[in-house]
Amino acid sequence: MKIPAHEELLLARCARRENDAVKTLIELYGERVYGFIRSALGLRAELVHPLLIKSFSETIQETQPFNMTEPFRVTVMRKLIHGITNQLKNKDSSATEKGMDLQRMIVFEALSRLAWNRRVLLLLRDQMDFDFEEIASILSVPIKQLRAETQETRLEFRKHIEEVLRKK
Amino acid sequence: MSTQCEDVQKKLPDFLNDLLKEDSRTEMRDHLGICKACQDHVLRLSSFTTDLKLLAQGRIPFDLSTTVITQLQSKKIEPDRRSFSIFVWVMVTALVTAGFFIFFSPLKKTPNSDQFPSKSENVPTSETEQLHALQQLEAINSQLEKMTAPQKKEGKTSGQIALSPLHWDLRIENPEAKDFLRSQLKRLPMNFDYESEETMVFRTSKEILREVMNILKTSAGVTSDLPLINVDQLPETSTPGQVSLFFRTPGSLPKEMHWHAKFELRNHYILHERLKELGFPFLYDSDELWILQLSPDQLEVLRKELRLFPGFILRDQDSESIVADNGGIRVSLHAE
Repeated sequence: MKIPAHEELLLARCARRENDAVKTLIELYGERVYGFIRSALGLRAELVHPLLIKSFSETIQETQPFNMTEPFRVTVMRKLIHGITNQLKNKDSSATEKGMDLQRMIVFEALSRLAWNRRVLLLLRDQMDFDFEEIASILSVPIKQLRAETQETRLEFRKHIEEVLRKK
Repeated sequence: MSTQCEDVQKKLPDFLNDLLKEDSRTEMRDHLGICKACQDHVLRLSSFTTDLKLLAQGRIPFDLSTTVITQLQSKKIEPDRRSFSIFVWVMVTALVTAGFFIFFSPLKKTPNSDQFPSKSENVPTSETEQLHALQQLEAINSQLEKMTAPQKKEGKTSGQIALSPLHWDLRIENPEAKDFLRSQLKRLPMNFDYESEETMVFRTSKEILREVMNILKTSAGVTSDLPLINVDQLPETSTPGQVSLFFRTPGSLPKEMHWHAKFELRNHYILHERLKELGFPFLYDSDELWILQLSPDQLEVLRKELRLFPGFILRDQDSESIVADNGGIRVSLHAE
């Protein structure tokens, strides 16, 4: 996996406790990662705010500058997803956000009908634009299996969208 | 639906994932260009990726960066594991070497050292064996002390300067004045760490620095960018001070590039790490002065790295106007 040079430099500065570097890193990835949480969990996103903070701070602390093996966002997402998966075991894993417009409501409802693993896969691929190698590393799944699973997930999601539309 | 449409729709997921080979991809695009039914299908299949992105829009309801910074400050920062592992590696190597030296050198034999216990007798039991083991330990300790002694003694020397490193850019009226100045400095009893046509780096004690300053003050046609200092006011330290001089002769093209690099956050170590990682050849490398011999390609990479570097200002030479020839170019960076 290609590691962007600016990430290595930023993390080296974070390791020297330069707060500006931490801010820049969060400006780069914070909103996108939070967008993922909100899409996957809706109202329940609030439950995992501490996990979001933990994932960022742990990754910053544990990453060895200039010795990174994967991009920062991959490590953050792996920590976050594993945390959420453990926390939400056997619980209803999504709830509609207040004030959503109709279009977003339909997408959200269709998405929440997907199994948790498939929901994560679809969001990583089609919302966050991670490539298959990165997703395989985050979810610990072979790339070949991932490709087939993505197609099936997209078709299932499409089916749910049509069902929700019909219902509305 | 025609057979071609069926075929195209089967391949659509791979098409959307950019997984098709170029010829299949061209074939697909040709068909999509003329078939409305397949166009509708592909749009239907791909539109949800836009919808998913729409779903992600919005702001984090709290200040994530401040919270993370607080979290980081409350935790104890772990030591750099890489440096630690290098340290451990160096220590282990030193111990193994010392052990090897002590046990196998015929000159360093301790009393009874030719009576090593056999493998089955590793644990000393009798008093004689215990004494033997203690003697071996003592020998290792004294060997280690010898190895570290020169470093300990260095701290006892006095009369050195504390402000280190010091750097002056000298403007010299003509090449003769430059040669004369160099020869004067070379006569002084000090260690030269690095020398080139336009740079001199040396370590000096307070006493000799006083003479260096006198030579610079009294040399005709030599001016410096910074005022020359009163050496007597400098505090003293145990390690020798480092001084670098850069000679400029106005009117002639510089043979070396010399940049004064101002790092806003004093974070030049990051750039240093990066250049090391890129495998740049360092001719001289100290905390604040790096001298590199770069090929034309490497010079371009350096310019790019400098442009990307946050809060970084170069002064003195326009970096873009200098081109390295095939023999390469010498670049010195003085971190301020």
